[in-house]
Amino acid sequence: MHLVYLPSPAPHLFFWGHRLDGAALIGPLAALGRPHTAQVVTDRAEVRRVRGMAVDLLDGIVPLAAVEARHLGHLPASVAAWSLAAKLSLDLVARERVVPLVRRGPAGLEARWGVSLALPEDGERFSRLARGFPPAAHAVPYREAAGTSDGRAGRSHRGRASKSRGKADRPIAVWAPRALLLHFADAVADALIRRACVRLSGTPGGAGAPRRPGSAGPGTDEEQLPWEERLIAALTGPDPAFAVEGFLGRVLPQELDAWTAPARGAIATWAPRLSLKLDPPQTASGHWVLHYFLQAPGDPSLLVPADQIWRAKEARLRWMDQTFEAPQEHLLKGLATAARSVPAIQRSLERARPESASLSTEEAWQFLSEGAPLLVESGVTVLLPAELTAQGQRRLRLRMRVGPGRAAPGAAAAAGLSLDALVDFRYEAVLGDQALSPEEFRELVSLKRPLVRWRGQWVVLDPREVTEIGRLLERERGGALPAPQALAAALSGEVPRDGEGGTVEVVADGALAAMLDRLRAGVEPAPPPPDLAGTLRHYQERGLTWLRLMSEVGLGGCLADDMGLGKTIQLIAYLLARRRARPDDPRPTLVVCPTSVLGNWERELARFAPTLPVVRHHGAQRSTEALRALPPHAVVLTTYALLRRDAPVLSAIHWAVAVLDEAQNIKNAASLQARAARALPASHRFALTGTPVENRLAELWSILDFCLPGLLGPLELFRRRFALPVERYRDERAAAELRRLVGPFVLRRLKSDPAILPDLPPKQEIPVICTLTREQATLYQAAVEEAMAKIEGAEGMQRRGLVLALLVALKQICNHPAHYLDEPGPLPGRSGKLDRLTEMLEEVVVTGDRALVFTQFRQMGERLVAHLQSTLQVEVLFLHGGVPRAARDRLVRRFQEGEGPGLFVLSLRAGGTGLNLARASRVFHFDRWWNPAVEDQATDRAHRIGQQRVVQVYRLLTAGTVEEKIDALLADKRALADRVVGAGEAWITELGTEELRRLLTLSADAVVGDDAEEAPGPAQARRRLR
Amino acid sequence: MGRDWDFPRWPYYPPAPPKLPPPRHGIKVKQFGATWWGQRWIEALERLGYEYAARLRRGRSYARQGRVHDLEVEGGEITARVTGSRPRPYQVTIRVAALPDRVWERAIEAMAQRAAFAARLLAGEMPPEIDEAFRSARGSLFPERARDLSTRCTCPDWANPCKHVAAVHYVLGEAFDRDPFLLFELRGRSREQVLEALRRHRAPEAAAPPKPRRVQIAGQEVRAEAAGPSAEPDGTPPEAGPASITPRSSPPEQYERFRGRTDDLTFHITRPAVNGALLRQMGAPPSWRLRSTPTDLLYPAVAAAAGLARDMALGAEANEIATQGRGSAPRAPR
Repeated sequence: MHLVYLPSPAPHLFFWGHRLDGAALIGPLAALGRPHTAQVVTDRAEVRRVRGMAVDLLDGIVPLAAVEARHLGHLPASVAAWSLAAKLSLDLVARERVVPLVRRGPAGLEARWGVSLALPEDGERFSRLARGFPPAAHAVPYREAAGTSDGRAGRSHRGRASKSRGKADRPIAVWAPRALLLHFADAVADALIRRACVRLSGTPGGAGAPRRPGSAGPGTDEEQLPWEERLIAALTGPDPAFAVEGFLGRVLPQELDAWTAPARGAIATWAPRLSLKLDPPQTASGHWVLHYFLQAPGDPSLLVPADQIWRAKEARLRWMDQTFEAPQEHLLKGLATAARSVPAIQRSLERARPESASLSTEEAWQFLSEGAPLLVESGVTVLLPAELTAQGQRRLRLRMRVGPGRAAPGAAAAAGLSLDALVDFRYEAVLGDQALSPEEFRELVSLKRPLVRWRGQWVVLDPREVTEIGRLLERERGGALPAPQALAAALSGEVPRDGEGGTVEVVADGALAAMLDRLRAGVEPAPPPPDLAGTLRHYQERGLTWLRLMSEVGLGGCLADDMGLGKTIQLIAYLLARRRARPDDPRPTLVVCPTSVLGNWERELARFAPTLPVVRHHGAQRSTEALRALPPHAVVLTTYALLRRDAPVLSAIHWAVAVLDEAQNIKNAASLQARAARALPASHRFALTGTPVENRLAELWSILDFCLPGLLGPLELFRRRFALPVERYRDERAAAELRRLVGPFVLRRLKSDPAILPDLPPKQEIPVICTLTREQATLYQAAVEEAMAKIEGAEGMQRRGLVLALLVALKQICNHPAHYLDEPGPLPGRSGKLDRLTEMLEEVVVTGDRALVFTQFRQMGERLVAHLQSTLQVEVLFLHGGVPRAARDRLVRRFQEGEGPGLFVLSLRAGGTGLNLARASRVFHFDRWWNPAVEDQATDRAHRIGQQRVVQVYRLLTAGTVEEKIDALLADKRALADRVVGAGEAWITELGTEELRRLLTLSADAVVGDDAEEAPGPAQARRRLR
Repeated sequence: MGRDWDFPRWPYYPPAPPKLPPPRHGIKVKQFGATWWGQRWIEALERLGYEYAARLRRGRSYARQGRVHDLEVEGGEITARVTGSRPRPYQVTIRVAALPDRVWERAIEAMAQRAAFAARLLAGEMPPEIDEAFRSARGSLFPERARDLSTRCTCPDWANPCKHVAAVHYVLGEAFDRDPFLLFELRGRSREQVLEALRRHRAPEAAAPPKPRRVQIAGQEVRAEAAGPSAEPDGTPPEAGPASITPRSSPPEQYERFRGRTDDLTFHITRPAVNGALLRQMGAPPSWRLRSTPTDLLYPAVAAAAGLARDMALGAEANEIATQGRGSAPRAPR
């Protein structure tokens, strides 16, 4: 699949090529296409007429510009190149960087719009994109006729084509990337403006065109119009033809060319341009000096000083590896233009060979405030002393001081900030970092000079700014802002100015400043609460401190540590710490999580915080009464489905803390559960997730709008201001602002962080407690009842056989009902373990990790592979006992390769020995062998000596079932475990019937998912990844 | 019939009113001498023909109506046709005397002493002090004496200038507004000759070979390598600005590969810092004569297009083209 831009006859996009996988990729673009044939230059350097699809220019650039930056690498390079071109063109037009041009077209003169590349950053980006252009993107044969839109193009072409070598009979000329890219950007600008004109006037006819009625045709009336009016009509109407004949035709194009060239920019016209450097005086009373340079068109870093230019006797100057045509003329022309706005330059032109101009202090200020911005706009590079640039600090300017004075009403005022409070602000005059006292300000203003020497440095005093500052300081001294807005303003450090463009600097004061200082200071680990029955790793102590800090300043946040770093224990430690810190506030905590981890929460709470009362609000037996009479500091556990269904009950309680575990469940802000979560009344809100952004930044908005309501503003604004600019345009300003805004409220540590790594053991065993679905529980109980009846009456080998068969059946049920029933039925939503595994692997895929999944059943392995591939949309490798040696080696090689698939399912027997799969950093045991030796052997496939990474081993256990009980038994009775090593499951068959019944029967605390609404499973309901 | 300015007067012969409409390709003049040098040219005519005010007025009206056409300038001679009362257009020739070489030499020497001369000319303006430069060379750029300007017309009018000559003269005045070098050309030196001579006179005595130096711009790191013709190893054309290149034979696998880094390009879709800044900075071309400026007339369209571009760039309705998988479709495991 290749994409080219065809400049003639009418500009359009054209894609061609056979590869169908590529066709699927650019579906929306293909949908706009119509069959077409065109001449292109193929990868064999042959000119061929090929079949393909043509897409209208404006139709095509919308999907092209919408490609997210991270997807560009997956597209054919030519498609990616034109996507970047579309983005650049829209960027230029959006900022009004467009110029009217008069050019010779196929049918005479035309008035067309083009882009301006006069600003250095625009020219630089344009050049970089053109330099990088892949051959396929500009494989358009160049003919003189095709190039008529640019009169100058033809000449250089001839010279070049004749120089070509190779054995081809006829040398092929293709459009140069620079020329084709410029043609494209111009065509986009032209088409956009003409479309805008149609919208402005309602009819195709032109907006500003002062046409007389009935004068549409090129007949007599038309010609009575003066050329100015015809030029406007040609630029704003449907027909770009701009006929000037006779002598006017000789002089007018030249004149118009000279008119537009400075705005068009040197990159577009390929001319060297003027560069001016301002140096401050050596003494306070001395003169400022403006030095002249010429800048190379192809290399902006190359500046030739004027004295060198005057020395050249030839019409052409070679300077390093750049050629300057007519350097003196370009310098003079540039200076003549600049002299119109800078009188000192005019004076310097009285000399024969001016190299610089000397400016008085007033003139220097005028240059800084008026001349320089105008010159920069017209393509002159202006180099200023750092202290005087707009970004420099030594400028008298207005600042908004937020957060002083009035204490926020409410209880949290002393410690922090309540998000529903109002925060005061006032304006102040600032110089450098220092706020000026009213006296100082008056003194500075009374000097009545635009450039002032103040405390040893030059200071710019823009009279307009000074008046504005004076006015605001007199009248409108300040006001009050809602707390989220004040916080956002203080964090981003600026707010948009009312009315006109630009921004006002913001600084925090008082409680807000103290809070920001605390937020920005970073957190030092604090000792965990003594009633935590467990130990925290170093980074977990930091996490705890961060949670407490957020809570103390009255806010919430998102703990986004990598999977396996122990978010749950950090939150439990925080709940204990909070209980100690606020014994006076016995309000309960709500933890919302997916059903699949409910059991895990229950067990972790029981293990690490046995003193915290836990209420499970789940299942048919859940009661509203229990919620009404909660013990002090109770922790209520519930699921997302119930958050939605029992919203009235849950939002009637004023929670001290609301926690969303696996908070990506509310990533869709419009979903009912996201709305229910936002509606929960709580003093502090925390979200836990390993993937705060799976797909889109809008997900982060949804999660943070739960944690910190209002901080990020409305979603639509967030999309336009942050999400799309960052995702599509890699907009660094937007990204930096977003980081400043949310940075303090998201704590994310990665397993691979060098700071975390020494904290983690090389191999970390993590049990993952899963739940049964109702279907699983029913099957489980029935299987146990039925088999136990038989076992009671059996003996010897028969009894042993029955017990082993039951064990297998129970494992299968825990794995999946379809596995046990051996049916092809649907998989999602029927097994808590499978759903949990899917969630965890989704995180693995999103973060780009690699994982092994072991099962002892080949049938389960097949189901896993099919399910994971369709749900996660990634390739999953599968190795089982039936795979022949050669294929098996191939699988291993693919997994170990750089770009290979990241998920590998292995049957325990096949994958247990002899393989090196050290690229995996996570290992999942989907079902249990109850034989540590076998499991360790499997785990060691990933964990090899010398591996730099930490390997995390997850053992999936179903709560309340034989899986969990045997796991506990093995852990408790190490001796027994040691004894049975190698014995596998045989020892179970030796247990007495009662013991056996205790071990196998589903215990009362088994967590059973009962929510029909959850049936599709969170994994399936999720949209495609990435 | 050839005439000089001091040709003996013919008896009065009333001119017939024009009966033909002006031709389509006639050059219509709106404003006579928008610039001071265009004005000077017209003054030269009016000074010489002050006795024939009525003819000048008619010439002016001919110029306005666009009766002058097929105007050509070659060397010091201007030829044009003027459609008047008769079906066959009259042929007008105006000859401007070339200045002697010594005048040119001295004038250029004087001009080279002040960069402002060349700078203005290059920027499309006639330097106001141009007279001084030529006067110091004992000459005048603008025709002052009768022998500086000779005219011919095929019309039967005896007067000199006749209205046809006057019309062409007025049209030329407008041409000078646009191109100050045109007057030089008529006086015997082309643009290139003038610039070349200026350059020669300007050069200082001892021209030392320039020393390369790179300057850091705006905090930007200066690239160490140069984008010169030899610095492109992969068949990328040297960046000399041609519209076309000849692809060197490169391996087919390079066809769909970027030649340089583009994945770090960033874009910033935003409003302009100042509305209409670029158009306002451009102003109007020198011979623009409408009361509304180009900015007044064009800015609404530019602003609307900018809004359209922002909506297209950040619109929610835009479908992304890469919606299927992450580059490679999932494949069957076996």
